[in-house]
Amino acid sequence: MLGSFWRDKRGISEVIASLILILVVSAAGVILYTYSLNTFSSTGSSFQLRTGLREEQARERLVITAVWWDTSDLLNVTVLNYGKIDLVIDTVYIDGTRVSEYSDGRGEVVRTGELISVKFTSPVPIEDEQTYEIIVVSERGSKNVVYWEV
Amino acid sequence: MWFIGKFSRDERGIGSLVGAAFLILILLSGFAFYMLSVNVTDEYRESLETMDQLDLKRKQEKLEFVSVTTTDEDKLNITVENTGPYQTHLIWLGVFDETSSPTTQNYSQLNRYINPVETETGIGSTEMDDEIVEGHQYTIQLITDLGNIVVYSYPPEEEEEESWVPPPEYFGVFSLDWFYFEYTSSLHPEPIHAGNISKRDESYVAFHIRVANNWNQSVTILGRSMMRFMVEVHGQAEPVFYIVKSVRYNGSPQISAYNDADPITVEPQESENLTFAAMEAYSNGWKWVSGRTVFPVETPETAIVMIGLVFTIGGSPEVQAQSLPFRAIFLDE
Repeated sequence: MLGSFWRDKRGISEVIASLILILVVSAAGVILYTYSLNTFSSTGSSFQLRTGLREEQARERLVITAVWWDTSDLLNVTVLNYGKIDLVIDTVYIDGTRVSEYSDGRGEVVRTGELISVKFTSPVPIEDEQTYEIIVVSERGSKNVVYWEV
Repeated sequence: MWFIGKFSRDERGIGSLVGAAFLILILLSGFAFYMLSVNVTDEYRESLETMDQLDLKRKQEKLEFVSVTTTDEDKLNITVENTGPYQTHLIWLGVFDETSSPTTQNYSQLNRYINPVETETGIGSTEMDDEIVEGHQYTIQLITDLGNIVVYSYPPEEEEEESWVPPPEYFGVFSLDWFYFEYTSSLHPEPIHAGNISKRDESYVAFHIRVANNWNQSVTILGRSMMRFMVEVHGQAEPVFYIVKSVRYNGSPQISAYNDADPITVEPQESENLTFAAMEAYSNGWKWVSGRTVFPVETPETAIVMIGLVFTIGGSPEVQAQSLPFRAIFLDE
């Protein structure tokens, strides 16, 4: 059977051979193109996303304008958004300790040029004539630090 | 027909064409990715430049309070001058009442533009909701759209004078803890004149006081300090005594003196014993003053004593003085 195959000088027609060749090349081209398209697309999306986040963070500006204390442990930090983009206050730290109890202001959208009061219970006891480091951090990671003297 | 004929004649061409088409597609995809990354990077760079310019403008923005008064409706009437190079846009006015406990913090929205070198007046007169209470101390904030905050205390706190100010609880730096004088004489059991005390006498008279430094800095008492001793009987005696290191009898009365180069430093809240004696300088040292009456033969009941302390404060070269007047009572032993 195999010997007759090699001895048989009649092969498959040139047309079929060409079609097979075209099919192989096309399939290889499609696979390569799809792979490259996926690679470029995912890399491009990832790059666009990362750069977009960095750009948004770069356009973000916030400043603490006032700190109010009710003489117990309740604090009210007023923050101004003076950047070019809306922001959301995510976290407040007092002397390096993260605030866990918020009563107002956290998670709210602060439009550019607007003030927001973030009210919370201080995680550290507040004492007269002491200085505390207050850090306000936005969802995009921008922060502002103030040293508040009671 | 020609194409088909050609096509049919060149079997290898179609594969190359298909391969080349896919290669071009892949290259186009890569180019599209490149263009996308260039655009995104450009946008990011433009944003960074914009924000850098914003930060630069923010640093250069300058606003100064010219005056702060109140209107008839007890609203603030703030006048500010833009001393920076750019137009300023005021967006918030903060008024904090520092007198109330806890303090109250109120913000009012503003929308005022001030060009460079221009002065804007009447800020707060129409925007404020609350009234200013007379006698309360306020902190006023003006906030610009660039995030700068200008603060003013209203009413303005009086500036402290740099000159020396005496502590409020005392009339001067020193207070007198006690005063007494001692007199010894084996030859003169009765009160004597200072001039009668000689080197050969076993007698001397010395006045001892103890003063406390009630100031918050060290005080250096100079040797030119002195004491006047005014006896009221017959109004005849008003001797002057000088500050000395010690008066003692060791075969003969001896005085060792202070001078300005050998001062006495008293630290804050500490006390120092001082001795005064009737003395004067002479070529070989110090001797008793002659002809000065310590007190009259008739011992009085009281005397007016005026201690004049000359000193410097905290290492300052400026010389200060304080008198410590009091009435002394002679006690029987």
